[in-house]
Amino acid sequence: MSTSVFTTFQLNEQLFGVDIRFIREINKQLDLSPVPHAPDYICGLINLRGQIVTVIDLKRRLGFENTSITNETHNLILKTDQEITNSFGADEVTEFAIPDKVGLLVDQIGDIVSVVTDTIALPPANVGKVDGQYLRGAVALPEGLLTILSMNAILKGAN
Amino acid sequence: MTEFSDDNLIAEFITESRDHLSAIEPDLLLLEQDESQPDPELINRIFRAIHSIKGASGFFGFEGLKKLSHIMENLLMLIRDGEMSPSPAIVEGLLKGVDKLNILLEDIQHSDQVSIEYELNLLTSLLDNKAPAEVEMPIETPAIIPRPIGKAHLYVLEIDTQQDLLDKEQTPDTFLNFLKTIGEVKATTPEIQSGSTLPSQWQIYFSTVLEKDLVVHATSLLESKISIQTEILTSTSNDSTECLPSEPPIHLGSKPPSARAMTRNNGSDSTDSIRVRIDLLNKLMELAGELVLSRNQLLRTIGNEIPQGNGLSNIAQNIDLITSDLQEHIMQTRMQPIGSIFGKFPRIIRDMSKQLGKEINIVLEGEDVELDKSIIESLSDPLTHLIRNCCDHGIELPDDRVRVGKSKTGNILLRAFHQDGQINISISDDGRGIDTEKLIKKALQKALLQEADIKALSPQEQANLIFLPGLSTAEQISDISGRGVGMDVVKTNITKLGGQIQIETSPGEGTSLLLRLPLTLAIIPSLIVGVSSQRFAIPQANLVELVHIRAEEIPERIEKVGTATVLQLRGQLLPLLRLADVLVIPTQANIDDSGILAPERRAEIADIREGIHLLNRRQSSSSGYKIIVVRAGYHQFGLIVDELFDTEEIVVKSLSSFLKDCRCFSGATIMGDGLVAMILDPSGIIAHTALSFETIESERRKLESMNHHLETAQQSESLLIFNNAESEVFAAHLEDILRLEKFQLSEITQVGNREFINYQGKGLPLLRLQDYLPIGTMSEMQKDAYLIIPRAGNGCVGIIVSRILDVQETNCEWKPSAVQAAGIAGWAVLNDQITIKLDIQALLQQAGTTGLIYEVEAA
Repeated sequence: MSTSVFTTFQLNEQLFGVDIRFIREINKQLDLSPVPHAPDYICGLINLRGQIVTVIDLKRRLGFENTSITNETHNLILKTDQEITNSFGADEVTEFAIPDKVGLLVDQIGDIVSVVTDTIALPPANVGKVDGQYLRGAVALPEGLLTILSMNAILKGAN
Repeated sequence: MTEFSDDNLIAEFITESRDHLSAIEPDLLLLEQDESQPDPELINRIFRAIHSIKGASGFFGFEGLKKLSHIMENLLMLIRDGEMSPSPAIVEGLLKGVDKLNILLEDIQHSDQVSIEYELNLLTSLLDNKAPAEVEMPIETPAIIPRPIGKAHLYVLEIDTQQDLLDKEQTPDTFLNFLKTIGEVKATTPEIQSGSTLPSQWQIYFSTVLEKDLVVHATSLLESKISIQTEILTSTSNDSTECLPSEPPIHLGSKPPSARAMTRNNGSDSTDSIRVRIDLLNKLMELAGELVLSRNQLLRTIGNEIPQGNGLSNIAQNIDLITSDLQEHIMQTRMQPIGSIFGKFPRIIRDMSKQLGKEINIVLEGEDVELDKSIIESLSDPLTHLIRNCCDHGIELPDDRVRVGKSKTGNILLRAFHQDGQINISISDDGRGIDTEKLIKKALQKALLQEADIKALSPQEQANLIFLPGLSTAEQISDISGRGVGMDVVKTNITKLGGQIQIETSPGEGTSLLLRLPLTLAIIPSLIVGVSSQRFAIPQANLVELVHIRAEEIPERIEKVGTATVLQLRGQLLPLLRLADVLVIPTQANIDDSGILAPERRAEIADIREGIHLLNRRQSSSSGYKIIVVRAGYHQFGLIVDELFDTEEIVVKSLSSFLKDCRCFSGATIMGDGLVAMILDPSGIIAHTALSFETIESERRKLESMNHHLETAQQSESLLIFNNAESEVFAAHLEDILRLEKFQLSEITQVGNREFINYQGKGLPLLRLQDYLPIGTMSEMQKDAYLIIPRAGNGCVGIIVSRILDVQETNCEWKPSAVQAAGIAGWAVLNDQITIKLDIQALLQQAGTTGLIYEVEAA
């Protein structure tokens, strides 16, 4: 019985998850330098130990309002496709292809959850305001519904 | 392919062979120069390089490579043994061989399929022409013995008299004599006496610098019959002079290797360098960069939180120094001497001068100047192009040079040097220079320029037309240059590297090009500017100057031309943009408390695209404007910023693909304080704002032509300066005057109240100025005076003036006279004197109306 592991986080108190294999690190590095003329969901660039990371305001990307930075705001740094290939082999990169370093701004970070892959349901047409194209699936957890995001759609703008 | 072959080994073989080949090319050229007295050290070096290529290609089983290098080796051996002198033909053959070897190395796996027939035949014929007469080598012939340098080998040759000598039509004497030409015969066992009977088996102790396989080749003995005994250091030939057919020619042995050969040798033979992969170096650079940032954070934290005096700050300081040092040195690992590309030019010049029938000499300077590897690589093509241009267009044919009094040989100086923190490369020739007339004609013909533009160009700017795309002055397209794509591509490439290129030329004396390049691409000095709370970097290469316009100067320095706002800067009009508007950066008020930007004011972009607006939005600002004047290609424009910070050396990082539409930026960087700043791209800003230089350009031209008209209107007035009453100075247009005559006042005949003079047999009516103008009269004391015969009166009237003072070219401004009288055109101060300009025509008209002319006609 195969399981999938997700990093969970909250956006507007709603629970979302991203496949943990895509996550490089989670931090609170939020010294954002805005980029004029950038798409509205790009909230700026940060310096991650000498590397420049493009930070996406995930809420804005999914159609919510802009993220307001609080003490709980976190930055999920994604792996580049190169890093994913290095860790898991080229097959995993099919999910998305981002050559650059990208971070996702989230309201609050949650637990790491492991779910039986078969229990992941197909995504609903939409979850609240979030358009179905950004969703990969949904799992009912004791603490509520976990919506699994499709990195493909979220990062599509880059290609 | 043998079973030993292994991809890594082969790759190493290829790189090493390439190095060898590129190293011997200049050596071959040197060899050619010293044809009569080849430097043995030089030959040895070439020999060793080819030899090791031969050895390795044999090992890997690359037959083509082996064959070719082998025959080259044979040729070199003969040169080394003095049996051949490195004539141009031979050097040419060897160079051809080097070229082919390079080609074979390109695709080593298929190298055996490449035809090497031509080179083999060429080299074989060279070998055959001067092949050593192995059969009979007359004893009297003084063979040149190279003085053995470095290590020599002692060989024992096992000789079977019948098989090795007699069957090959050699006698022991001829064989020994031959050996003596390539080394020293130390002894034989048993001792061979001329004429004595020969044992069937005997041994020769033979010492030479040649490697074993060469000895095999030279002696045609089986390899198994030659055994190496020891390596002995031979400094000079000592006890065995009687073995030598002649003393080694002194001039050869004693000739010191040229300084160039020495230094090269010291560099290339030493083993104090190793090969390192570029990606490893890049990783190290990156890590060093991260270390620097971590250090900065550490220092800040220590400064803020740790009390002084606990020793920690000393440690921090130490780490600070070491980190800087480390970074600097890692940077240096990417630096390469520019000599690596300069080195190939002597060969190019040599080949081209042959091809073009010219005599060209190239001098290289500053080959040890170091540049970032990536720059070196991208510099190779542009430099080659420029050098080829010099040869093709710059340097004249020898005859032409002699005709204009120059030496037959043209010179090209290629020089690299440091200046102002940049690398400068200058290429100058003493050729014919650039024909700017021809350039202009071509530019007009191809409609790259307007007639009006030409006038505004300085001579230097005219020469710079050569960088316009689609311009080539070569009448005929040769295979060397003249395709009309060259110079602008060169310029583009240099600009891409963050460099600049300038050209100066003087007809008949030569052309010189100057390239200015940053030391490294990775780190560029930049000015940090601030808008609102954001900071941006602008590369120094794009920066022209900083201008501060005080609030009170704004009305006169900044104006509107059509929809564009322009800055007047020393008579030039520069388009002016406010960076905050270009980048749609909200003022502080638009940033909410969270620090996240409020929705952007998209609407304003449209405004910006239509033209610049709201420049006076901050008219109240007492500090005026801080303007950076930036350059993008041919264009310059001003950017208003809020703050000017320091210059910083920034490390350029490329932008994420999310930001590919942000044309105003060329990249991002991390500043000293660890924050990210965007790097501004002036060309992108022009594109984004659709900044139109045309309206401003046309405005500028209008202004200029207006000034020009004004000038020409005032210009080149030729005036006759004269006086009547002594204190009053008059001027009249020279072109209004037909003739001037000196005459005696006593010649005047009075007829009624009219005055006449006998002039060319006719009575010429005279008029006095004071009769028509409110001016003083001529002094009564005067005996003689001058006659002005104006053009307008058909030569039928003369004006009496007392003295002609001068004829003058002037462009002074005439002011209207206070005295309103027909005949006075105006006044001005000329030569410190108030001068009244007369209008001769009006004057005559007035005289005519008084009936004077009429009366004369009637008379």
